[in-house]
Amino acid sequence: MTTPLISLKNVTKSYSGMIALSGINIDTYPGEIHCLLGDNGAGKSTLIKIMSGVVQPTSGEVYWKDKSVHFKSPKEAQDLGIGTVHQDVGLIPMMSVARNFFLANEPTKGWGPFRRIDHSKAREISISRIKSMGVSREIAADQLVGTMSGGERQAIAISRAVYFGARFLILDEPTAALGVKESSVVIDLVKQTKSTGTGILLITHNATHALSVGDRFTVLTQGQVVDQFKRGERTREQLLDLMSGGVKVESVLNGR
Amino acid sequence: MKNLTGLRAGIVAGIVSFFMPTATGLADNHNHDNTIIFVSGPSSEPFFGAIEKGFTLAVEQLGANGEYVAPAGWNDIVQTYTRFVEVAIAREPAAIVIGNFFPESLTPLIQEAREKDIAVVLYNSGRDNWQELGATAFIGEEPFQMGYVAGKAAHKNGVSNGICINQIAANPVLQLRCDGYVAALEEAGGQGDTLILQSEDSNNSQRVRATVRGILLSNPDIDGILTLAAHLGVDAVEAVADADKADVVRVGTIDLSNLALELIREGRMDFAIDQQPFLQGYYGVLLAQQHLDFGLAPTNAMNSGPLLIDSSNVNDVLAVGSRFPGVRGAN
Amino acid sequence: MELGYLLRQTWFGAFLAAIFVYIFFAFFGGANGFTSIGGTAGWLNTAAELGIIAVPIGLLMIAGEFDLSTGSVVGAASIIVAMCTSFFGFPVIVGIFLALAMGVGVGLFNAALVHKTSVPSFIVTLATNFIVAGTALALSRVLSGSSTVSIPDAGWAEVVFATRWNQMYISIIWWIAATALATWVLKATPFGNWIFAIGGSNDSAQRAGVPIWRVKRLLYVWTGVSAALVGVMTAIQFNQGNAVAGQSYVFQTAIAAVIGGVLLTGGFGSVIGVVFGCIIYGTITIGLFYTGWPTDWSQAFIGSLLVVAVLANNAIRDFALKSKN
Repeated sequence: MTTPLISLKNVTKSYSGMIALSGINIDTYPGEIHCLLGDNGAGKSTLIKIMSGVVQPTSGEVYWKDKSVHFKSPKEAQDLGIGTVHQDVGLIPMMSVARNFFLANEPTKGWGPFRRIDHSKAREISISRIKSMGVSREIAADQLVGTMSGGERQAIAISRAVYFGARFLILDEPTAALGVKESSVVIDLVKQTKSTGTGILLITHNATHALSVGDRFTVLTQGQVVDQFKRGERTREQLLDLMSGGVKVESVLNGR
Repeated sequence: MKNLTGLRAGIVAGIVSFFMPTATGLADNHNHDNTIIFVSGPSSEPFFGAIEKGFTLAVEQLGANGEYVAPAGWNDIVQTYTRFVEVAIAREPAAIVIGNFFPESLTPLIQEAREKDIAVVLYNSGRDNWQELGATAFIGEEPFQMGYVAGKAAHKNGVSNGICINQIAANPVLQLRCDGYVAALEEAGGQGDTLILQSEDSNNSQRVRATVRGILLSNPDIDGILTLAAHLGVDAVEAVADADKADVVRVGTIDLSNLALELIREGRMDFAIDQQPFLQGYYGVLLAQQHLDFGLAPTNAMNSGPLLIDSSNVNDVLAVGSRFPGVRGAN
Repeated sequence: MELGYLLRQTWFGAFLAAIFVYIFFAFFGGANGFTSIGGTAGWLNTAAELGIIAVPIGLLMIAGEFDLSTGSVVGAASIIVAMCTSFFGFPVIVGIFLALAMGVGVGLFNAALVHKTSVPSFIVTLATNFIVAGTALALSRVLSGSSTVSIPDAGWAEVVFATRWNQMYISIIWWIAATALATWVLKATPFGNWIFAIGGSNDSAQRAGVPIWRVKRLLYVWTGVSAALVGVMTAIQFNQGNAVAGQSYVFQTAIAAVIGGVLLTGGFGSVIGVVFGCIIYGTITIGLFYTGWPTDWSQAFIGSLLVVAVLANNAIRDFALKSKN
């Protein structure tokens, strides 16, 4: 059995007495898409924050490749290879594709006071990386990100995270704001990324999207895991019931 | 018809000069026509409004080729005024009429103008050394004298401990007036002090009244106030009334306004020191024009002030003001 | 394609406006010598002094922040130079050094205040403007008894800061240098990339790992030092320091940046656009002079142009974000 990338063991998080997460156990693996499902307020965003090092758990352990880790900052998580693509993608609309791609990691040439951005290198790499994600439309490196579609922005953000060493990608609701066609582009992107051996945590509340790409599934309700299963173990109807607030949770669990 | 020809000539010259900047730049030297550029102070000030009236009348009566330029406000007045004079000189007119308000920056420019053979007439400020600088003539006040006369008048009215309220800290002219006031009081055995008012507050009557009232209450010995602008004088009179000290504190001001003149007539204000700005505008042009036409100029500085206006002559001044609004620098 | 490219450039509107304004005044003021060397020097000098501060202000505004304290830094720097040389009798280099150090200090103070208070920089730096102006006035009056102190002779500094050639001041050279430096930083360096990113989206930039406060601190120091430099320059040009001078820079610099296509909310703009903004400002204020029309109108001109500029910039930005390529 392969070593998991990031694992949470019995993780609990409370904010000034309010319990946001309790007793969470999750394992994620390279080359697998782990879907995290749940309604608003189920604790998804707290879980992302713990995994990406923004907050520390109140109790419980976080493991990276079977080693216990305590992230003090998002930077530490990033350095290990945990990349996060937020719902707003984290790109700057008024900046070009290449400038966005290399933001805060600009390739430079020259020395001392003459050190400058290697623009041709930035253009070349960013475009080839984005193209390798399977984006069909012609994209220019000098194009402003604001002129691009939601799917294309996801492609830039994902390829950027992977290029800068992400072995594990947290994708926060990548299809939430998108139409049907753009969503399917993004789903293809996610599959494409998975095929490179990257582990993915896909946060969504769209059961259809989840079932079409997910390898493992975790359903959260009110800060607790109500179900965890592998691909093919639940039907779409069962999943929808689980997500709709846990009314039928007991029956599903008991029926197993 | 004359206007149309002028416009056409202007258009042609504009186009030509646009395409041949250097050519006209060199040809500029014969631009020594008869233009007189009058660089004035902020138009928002009634004082400079009176100067403009004088300027306009002189240009009209003499048929002079005069141009009047003025900054919009007091902001950065040293820099703005200096730039205006610089640009006026760059145009190489026949004469410029300027105030030597800021000797440090303007003196080199006056010398430069003289080197370029541009006649310089000084008004308002610069009495001390206009001849050394090669200026053609001087008409105006001497700021120290303005304050000094005010100090004398205040002393005559029984003031022994006066304050001078300066609303523009940066203006050396105003500072000198205060110095003159203080000097006159001290000479007479009294004492005086200068108070700086935040310049952005000086047009806010409420603020000025509250400030002055506070000063009077916290310094009960003060028995005289001199303000350097008429509207501040009016505010000071109100502040004195607010502080219930109308019978103790005597108020006088430099420069005029109708309201201040009314207060003098009512006996609530003692005096206003006038420097007759209209004359500075009028004679500024006249002196320049006569010099250009005939090479004539007075051999001494001309005094337009200080003129003391008190209860004895205030009615005459008010009468002129109602017949020719703005001419007395009051409105 | 070529026209489309131009229409998407932030500076293009300002460029057209500068050409238009120049032709306008060449037409109506050319006969009086607006296009002569003297006339050209006039608007160039004005644009240069404004530009030395407006260029870094433009960078700061691209990063989404304001600095309205530059005005009082100009005055404070000028009085520092004047007092050090004339009043205390120090060598002029000491005065210049202290003035520039004051500029650095005000920049650090602004950055710290904006960072710690999380109050919009528009307000924070306006407060600094009053603090610095008031302190400069009070200290100069306590120490020298006056708010203006003359500088009889600044020695070598006259050459560096006040050289005049055909009525053109050396400040034009300083302006060109400041422009070149800012252009290089904004276009070619990672730091420039960060400036755009912070103004475009503070959160996204922070998440991407941009050290946003380091960037802003440096930009505030940059505007502070530039304002101090102009203060030194004017002090030596006008042979006097004036504690309360410089207030006109407070809004003029921001106006020049906005006319030059810098987005008020940040994230968009160019150095060359700000340069055109300064040229427009200089051309209007000096150009009116040459028309012989009442100079009272200049503020109305600037105001109208500001409205037009903001509308044009919005249109350009929308166009840039709509056009695909």
